[in-house]
Amino acid sequence: MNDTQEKSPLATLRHDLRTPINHILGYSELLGEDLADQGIKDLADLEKIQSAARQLLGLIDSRLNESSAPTLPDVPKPGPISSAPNPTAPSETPSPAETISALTGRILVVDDHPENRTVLARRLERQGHETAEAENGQEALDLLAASAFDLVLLDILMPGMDGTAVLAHIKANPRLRHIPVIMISALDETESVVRCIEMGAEDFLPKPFNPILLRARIGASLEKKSFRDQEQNYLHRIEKTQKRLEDELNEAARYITSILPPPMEEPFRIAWAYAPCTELGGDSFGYHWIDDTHFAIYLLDVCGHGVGAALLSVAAINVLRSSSLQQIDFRDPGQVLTGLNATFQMEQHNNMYFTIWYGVFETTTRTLRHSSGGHPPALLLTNSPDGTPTLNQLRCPGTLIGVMPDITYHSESLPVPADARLFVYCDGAYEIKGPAGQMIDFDIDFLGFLEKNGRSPSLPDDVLAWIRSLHDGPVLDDDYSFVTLDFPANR
Amino acid sequence: MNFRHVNSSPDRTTLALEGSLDFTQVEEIKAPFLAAVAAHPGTVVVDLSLVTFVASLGMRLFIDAYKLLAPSGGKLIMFQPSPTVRKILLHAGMESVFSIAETEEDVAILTAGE
Repeated sequence: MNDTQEKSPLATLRHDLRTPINHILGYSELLGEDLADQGIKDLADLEKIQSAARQLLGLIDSRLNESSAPTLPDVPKPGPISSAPNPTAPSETPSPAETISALTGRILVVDDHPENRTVLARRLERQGHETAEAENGQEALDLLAASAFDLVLLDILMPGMDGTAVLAHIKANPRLRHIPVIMISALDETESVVRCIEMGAEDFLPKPFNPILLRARIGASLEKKSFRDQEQNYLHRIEKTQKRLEDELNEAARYITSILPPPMEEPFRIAWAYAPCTELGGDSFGYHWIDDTHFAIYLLDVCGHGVGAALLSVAAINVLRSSSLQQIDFRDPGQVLTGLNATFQMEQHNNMYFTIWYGVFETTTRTLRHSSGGHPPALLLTNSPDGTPTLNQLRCPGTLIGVMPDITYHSESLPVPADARLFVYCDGAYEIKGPAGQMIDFDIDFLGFLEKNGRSPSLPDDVLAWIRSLHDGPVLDDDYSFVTLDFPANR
Repeated sequence: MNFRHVNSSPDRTTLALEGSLDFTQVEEIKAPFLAAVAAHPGTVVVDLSLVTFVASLGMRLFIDAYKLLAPSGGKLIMFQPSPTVRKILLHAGMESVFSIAETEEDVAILTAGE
């Protein structure tokens, strides 16, 4: 990390001579400010000292130059600095360099010369900042690790770990890299300054410090830091809120899954698959014994998905699970849907409605009564005497639940042959856009698949795998639920 | 998905849809379609002859249109759905929510019956 110019004896001499002269300038400026504070306005002698010091700086730059290696053209000449407004000039209003800054912060001053540090720290404190000092790179890193800073003023040329190395450490540390660093450089350290800016330094300040420039650059850096801090703050808040929402959604999703009944073996084998397309689905289903001879099975699908749909689906499914509709015989599907429709009119339920298929199997007569509220037909798979599978669509002409007030739903019924298998599912099982962008056909594709694979013990999962293979994209567009029920041969 | 306002007479407005009313397409035309329905209370005829598919969210569009018209006694007539779309509407039991008409005469009869 050695500066190339460090190798030149003349450059070293220039640096060594400038350091005490900069101290003369810095301390005399501070002295001037202190005197001005005490009301002493005539500072002509002090100004002469400063003027002589600047002249000396100018001489060092113009005379102590190798003819083969002239001062880099873009190095600022001392001229403009000495012509900067003198902060100690007699004046009724304080110079802008001396007023308390609008934005103050905690600043770490890193320099191996104690005089440089003191001059800089005192000037910064005058501007309202809080300061800490480090005399070498390691001490700077220790201080940065121990407490929070808003800005680092970092001398480039230091023995041991130099400013460039300290900067590299700061920028490589995720905890520190957001802290702006302003490099302090001698006039002929342009190459190092450029390297530091490329490494992520915010800005640089040439020695001797021009108080106005110092104030402006520190103000700008602190302002940027403050915006960045605010940004980080917002980001943390957003991340926290997002985390909380995710946790709550997962909790709700766990609840929705927990109210789904477990698969069953006796007296019916029931298998199912459920895959909401977002954390929370609008699908739900259930099955239970109403009495010793009546077994209910139902599946509902709220239009839409997400939290709103999930809430309505849970409310409706709990009504069915607990058979809690006044004066409704839950063995009569038509009555159940009529009751649900009266209870869940969309105007009273956030303008949401649902479809449902509801069936009741009576074991003594082996009949299945069913009704539908705008739901895709359940299917009954039976085998013809010759062994070919037949899919019977269990339709009942009722519309969506919650849309039309005061309508009556009716039931259909049919005998259930031995070894029949019932499929109850939602439209998400077949409203699938294929790779060519066309929706798959219910009769040809969906029923075709079920005729061919209908007896698979893992049919609900098979259908899900099949539609996922057809679907273009990682996530299905709609919730998926599919239930199979195998009726016993005899009972 | 395309949506066109075909014509309006004092007693009837015809709106035509075209394409597939699936998940992604419905959102595109939802607002202008419902605005057109709301602007023409009375009988609204929805020409479905060029609609290839209606997903459940597409059905939602028709329900919303019906809910806009119902309070003032308006009527929603679905005109010339393709066999596929007709099947979808019937599966959802929609014939109790709105009428389905195959010919201009059917529309005239349905409108006169008001």
